[in-house]
Amino acid sequence: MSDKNLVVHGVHKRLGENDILKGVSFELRKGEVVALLGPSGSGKTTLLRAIAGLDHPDQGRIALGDRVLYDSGTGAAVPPEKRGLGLVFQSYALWPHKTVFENVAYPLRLRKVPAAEIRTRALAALSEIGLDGMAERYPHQLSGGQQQRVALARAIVYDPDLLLLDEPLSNLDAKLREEARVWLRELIERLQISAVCVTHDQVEALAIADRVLLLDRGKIEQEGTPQEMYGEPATLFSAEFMGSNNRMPGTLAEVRGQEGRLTGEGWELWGKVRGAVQPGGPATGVIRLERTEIGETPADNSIQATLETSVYLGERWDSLFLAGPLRIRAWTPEPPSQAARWVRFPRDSLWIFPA
Amino acid sequence: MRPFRALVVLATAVAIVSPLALILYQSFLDAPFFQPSAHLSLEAFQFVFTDSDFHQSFARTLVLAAGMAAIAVPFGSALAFLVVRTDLPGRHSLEPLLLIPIFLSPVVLAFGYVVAVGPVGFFTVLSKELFGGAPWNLYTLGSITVIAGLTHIPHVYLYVSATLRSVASDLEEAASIAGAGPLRIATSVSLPMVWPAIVSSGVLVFFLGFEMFGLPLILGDPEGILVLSTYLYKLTNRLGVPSYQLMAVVAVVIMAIAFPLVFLQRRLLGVAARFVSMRGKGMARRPLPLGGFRWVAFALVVLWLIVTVGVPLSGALLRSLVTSWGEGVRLTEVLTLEHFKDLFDYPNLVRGIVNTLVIGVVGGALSVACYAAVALVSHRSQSVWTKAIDYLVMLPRGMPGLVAGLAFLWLFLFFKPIAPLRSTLFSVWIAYTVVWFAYGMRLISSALIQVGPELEEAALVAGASQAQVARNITLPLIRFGLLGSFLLVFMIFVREYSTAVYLLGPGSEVIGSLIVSLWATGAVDAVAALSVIDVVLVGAGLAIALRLGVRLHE
Repeated sequence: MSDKNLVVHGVHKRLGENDILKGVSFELRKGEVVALLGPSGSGKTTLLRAIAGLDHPDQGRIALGDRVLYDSGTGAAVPPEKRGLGLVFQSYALWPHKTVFENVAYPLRLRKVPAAEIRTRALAALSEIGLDGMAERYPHQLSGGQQQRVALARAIVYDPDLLLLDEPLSNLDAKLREEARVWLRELIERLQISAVCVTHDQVEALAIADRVLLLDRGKIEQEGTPQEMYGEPATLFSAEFMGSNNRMPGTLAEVRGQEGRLTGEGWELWGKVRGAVQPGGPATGVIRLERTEIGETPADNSIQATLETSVYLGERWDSLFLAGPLRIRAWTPEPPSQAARWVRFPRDSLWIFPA
Repeated sequence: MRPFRALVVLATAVAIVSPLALILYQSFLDAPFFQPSAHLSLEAFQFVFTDSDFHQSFARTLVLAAGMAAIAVPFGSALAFLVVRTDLPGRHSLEPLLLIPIFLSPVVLAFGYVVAVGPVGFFTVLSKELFGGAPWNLYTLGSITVIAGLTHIPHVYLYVSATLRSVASDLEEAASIAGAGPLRIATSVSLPMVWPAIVSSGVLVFFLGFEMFGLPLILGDPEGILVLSTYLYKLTNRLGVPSYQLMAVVAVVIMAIAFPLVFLQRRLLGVAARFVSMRGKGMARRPLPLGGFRWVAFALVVLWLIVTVGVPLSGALLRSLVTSWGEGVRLTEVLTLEHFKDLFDYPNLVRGIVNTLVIGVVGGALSVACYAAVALVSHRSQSVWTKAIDYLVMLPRGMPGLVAGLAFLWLFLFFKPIAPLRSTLFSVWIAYTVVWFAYGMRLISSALIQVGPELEEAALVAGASQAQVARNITLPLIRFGLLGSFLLVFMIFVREYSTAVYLLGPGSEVIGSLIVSLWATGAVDAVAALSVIDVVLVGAGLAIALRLGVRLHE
């Protein structure tokens, strides 16, 4: 497709009193898919719109290969229509007065492609996304999933140098979203597109992206492969944003090499120390619910607790234990036995962060 | 797009500012502006401000405007609550009827009242025959105020109902469950929540009272009751010479009062929108049961419709079908269609009817095109130009039609290059377009606001220029809104009269201005026939609009 790299450097954006973006930089290699992940208000959509040219940052530089799209230093700002990017909107933004075919063909018409070629290319794009035979329908005659595919076809029909996706799956219902996730990743791989995908859903980010950028309040909190992001969170925010977790506030009593001892009211646990936390200082332990184990007998690194309730969720059981002020949840494939009194925290799986 | 934007902004500014500037300039001269002897002076202000007739007119206008607001605001708000929130019988089919007074020409209404309930009106005569007398006198300031108040109820209704609709109904249901009856809910929950809209509509009605011309012209004339606008209109006759500077002073006074009110009204409307949008999302609405009061409310609404629409229209229609009327005349002996046939003996009247159609259909379409062009260049743009347009289009709102017509007459006299256009329909069209600028812009903007920004952004990202986005995406998406706007502007233009009064001449006649001038000569038969034709044209537009499902308000 293209050998161009996207370079975003030091992008700032201020809206009124609020700094939406506080100097965000990242690069995108050819054929790579990057997810901009973050809660609402983290600035991820603003960043995407800045790349698309729909919003202008106050400072910073955005370049695609050797083309400068935006540079606050030189005042260069290529308008969105000249950037040649593809954008899939969260609402899909299909033009309701045009048929599916006309929606997909419109970018080609703007590029003055000969009529016969428009026909072949638009139909090929529709076939690519599995919507043969739907060309003459209007968007409102399609299901949500089909509309999403048309929006994608419209964005890729002119071979853009970069594909931008704004919460592409958030308007689909849960079941469809799972299928679309796999389908979208497969399509992007097959077409070898470079893509930036904005999402607030960590599962979506993990599934689609080669690399995840976690944003919080206008700054990049952590970036890495999906495995690194989930398995090796660098900060408390990263750890808590990804996955479902138990959170254990306490004090770091001592540090031995990589490990530390976290103590609270009537309990103490060993875990991996992450980040700059001083012995004696407040700290927070975080463990994924699926790593939390339960048993009927005491074991290494465990806390005695009483089983309050457990909920059946189909593929797993979600159990709640109480230990003093602590509320600890655990996911297990089997129902917890009524004799379960101990919750175990494997040392490798409990991370200790500065509070 | 850039040069186009600049051109549109510039043309708009010229069309709106030049008549205003000319009036302002003229008010500070001691003679008509085209006379070489004219000098800057405050003479005209001195004359007007020391004229006792002016003082009287001003006081009457205040009474009229305040009285109108005092009638229209409570009734309009109550009407909005009844229609939007309660199980008033037939409220869905009643709704279009409620707006009819807005689309009826005030001169037609006034004429209708004269022939229906004037001293020898149909209903007056009937009442005298049945009861030996009629307990009303049409030619008083009180009557004018009551009629004006009743005919402006729809203006209040429009604003209040629009705001009420956006208030979540669960707030009322909560009050209902807590034990409040409909009246209690209206006065303690619903109406307090939309108070900015109510106050804003009150301000609107108040300044419409300052601009009112048709009703006081026809109903105030027999007893010599002058208000500001009719004082302005009669100035020429009184002095015998064209007293341009005095007219300009009165126009400036009217606008000096109207402009701050226009801005105030707009501010309040903004507050109203914010006040309500904080609330939750409206669910499917269950109307509040009125119980026994249901049919009483219905009867009151129907009575109001009969008084404001039924009485004057039936009067005008009946008068157009009889040769003469007075006490002791038998209806069956005087019925005739001659008045309509007679119209065709007068080329100016025929031209007036044709011109009215042309200005409604062709002029309306052109005006909508102008409004759309202005709305599009400021659409989703944050530039200073957009801000300028925003304030610019509010100016005509404070310029009464009569004054705008006068200003354009002067412009056509003043600038020789456009002088030949004075006796053509173009002069009337440009004046109409400017007078209704704010209204037209609101219509188009409310259509544009429905277009999701991402639909346009998607086209931009796909490679479309601003102009291509407008042409291929935005305009096709609002085509139905444009059609609706055209139909509304058609009705407004067919109805309009005061703006064309000063521009009336061979070639630029329209029904509205002809009625005003014929009324002065006492040609009641022709006035009756023209009134009926005007109402029929408006009715046709209304029927088409309703048929197509056009919303009669934004």
